[in-house]
Amino acid sequence: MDTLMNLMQGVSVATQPINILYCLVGGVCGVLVGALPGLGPSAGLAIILPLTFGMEPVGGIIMLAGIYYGTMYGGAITAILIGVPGDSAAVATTFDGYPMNVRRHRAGAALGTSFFSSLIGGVIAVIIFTFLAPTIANFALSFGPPEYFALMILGFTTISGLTGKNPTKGYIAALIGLVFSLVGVDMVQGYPRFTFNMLNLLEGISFVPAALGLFGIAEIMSITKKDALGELKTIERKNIKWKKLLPNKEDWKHSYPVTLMGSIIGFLFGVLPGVGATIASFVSYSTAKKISKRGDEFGTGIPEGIASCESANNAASVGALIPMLTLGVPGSGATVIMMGALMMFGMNPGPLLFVERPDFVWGLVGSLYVGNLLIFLICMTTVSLFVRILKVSTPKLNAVVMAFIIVGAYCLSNNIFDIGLTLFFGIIGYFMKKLDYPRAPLVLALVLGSIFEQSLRQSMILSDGSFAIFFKRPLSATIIIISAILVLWPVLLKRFKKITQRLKLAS
Amino acid sequence: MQKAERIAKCIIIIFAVYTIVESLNMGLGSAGATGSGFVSFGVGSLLFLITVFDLLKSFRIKEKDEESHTIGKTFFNVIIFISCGIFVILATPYLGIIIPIFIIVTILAKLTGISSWKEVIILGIGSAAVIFVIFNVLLKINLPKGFLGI
Repeated sequence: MDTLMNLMQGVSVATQPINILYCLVGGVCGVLVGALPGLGPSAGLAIILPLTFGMEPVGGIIMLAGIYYGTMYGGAITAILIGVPGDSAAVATTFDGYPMNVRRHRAGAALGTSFFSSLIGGVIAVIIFTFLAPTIANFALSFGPPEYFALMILGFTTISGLTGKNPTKGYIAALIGLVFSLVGVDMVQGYPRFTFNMLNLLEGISFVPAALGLFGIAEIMSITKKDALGELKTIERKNIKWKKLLPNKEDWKHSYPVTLMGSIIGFLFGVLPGVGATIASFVSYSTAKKISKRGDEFGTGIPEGIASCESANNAASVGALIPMLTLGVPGSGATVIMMGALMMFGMNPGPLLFVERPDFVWGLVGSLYVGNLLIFLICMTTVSLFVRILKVSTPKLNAVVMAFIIVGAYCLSNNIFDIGLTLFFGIIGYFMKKLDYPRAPLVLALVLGSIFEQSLRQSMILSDGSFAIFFKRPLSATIIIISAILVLWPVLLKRFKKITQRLKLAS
Repeated sequence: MQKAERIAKCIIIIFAVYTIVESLNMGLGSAGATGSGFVSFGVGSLLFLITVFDLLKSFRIKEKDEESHTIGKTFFNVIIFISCGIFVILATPYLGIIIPIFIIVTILAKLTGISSWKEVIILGIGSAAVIFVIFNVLLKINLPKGFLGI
């Protein structure tokens, strides 16, 4: 009852005109920043942070939170329209979002599905946040190196869903991605690995240049001149009307289970420090592919493929706020900046924040409800503008996209080296595409690899070299068992179907 | 197509061997105190085994028809896009980033199919201007400037 009273008070704070304005400004900036390749929520927050200096704390944090989840909406726009993910959390959205646009000519419906799923994911996550924040925060605290290792194993099991027709090529791509993730200084012993004496590689290979190169540059280089000069895409007026943007009954029927599932997965992964929206979206996509009736059609442009990742990444962005607010532990680069902002406002993130400044915390929670709805409405009403991008001829679009990719890669750390890295991955991505090697496992392994290695080695140190540590701890053992079930499930299901068929024939 | 695949697998095998050798140089450590090369050795070994197995398998499968592939048709794109990228890297310290962006957008649009010079130049100027406004003015990101001050 107290929670509901606090929530109502929070919503009343969030719906004050000035706070709605801050939420709107933050959300729109977040969508635009999210749509720009190479700039993610961290960059958006860092850029807008100075604007919040003179604001009231509640207004300031509402604006910053708006940017954070706004980027999740925005990242899907370029992922669907031009096949270039706006940020790392939108990479999985390209798997079905772009084909739904290019092959099925349903760009508007793809965007509509993405926005609806983001809204549902965000709202579900906020509801869980409202009632269970401190409990979930304590649960997250119980995760040590063995649990993180088990979680990475769970993440790697999703690779089987990303390998496409040739699993061997998928595993090869994943192993290459793992090697790339090990580039840089060894976090345990401080030894530089695979750096070729280059200072720029000491920090390792960032995910962003890899994603921009593998998915962005590789795609635009793969278009033949004949395809590029083909008929301009004609977008009929009727296809960008409001009704066409709504998922139809068939879309809803297939999408709603994976949207709900993605919201839960995204929230749980978002709560864990260091895991984040990117991993959440991949795991959600892969799990949806396994459980969906149309699992074989994933990757061909079906709405479930978009719904699973978009609900997960938006839910993860809300989940990431829990450790920051309740424990004072930032879970990602973006929440580091938000925590810095909190301190700047004179707040002390931690358990006492809920007690000392309930108006601040519940005002933020209230704004999550209001902000998600506002950004959703803005995105839906401007979808027709976004879709018009498709009317631009491919050579012009490719040239401009290349320019944005190059500048986006530079902006990652104001270093020209990142442009070179992006080009390198562009070449790799091009040949991978031509030789039918799936790129998604490489990217997933690049994301998971460093946490995987660090947690494995820390666990081995803790256990003095014994692998039993992963099975002695209940949480870690449970996650490993779940991973084993997910891997064996398709095989067991096939066997079960064969047996039941034989029994039917016999009877 | 199979020829291209086999070449790719050979390159991956060389990459895997390099990873294994480097990992041994870094040291594997012991079970309780794993070295820097511990995980990379395992990954490199697995990569080597899987790729060699796949390569040997490809020699057993007889290719029915030579599948056409579009590497040749689009390799020109690779050359021009990568060359433009390299040009940006080399020219940015002297010209800033905006001028090279204008140049590469113009060249890419022209070489990939737009015949009108007027169109490509307007596109180049427009793109550079939009990037300048978005990144430099609105987002206040310090893009590198050249001797012309932009």
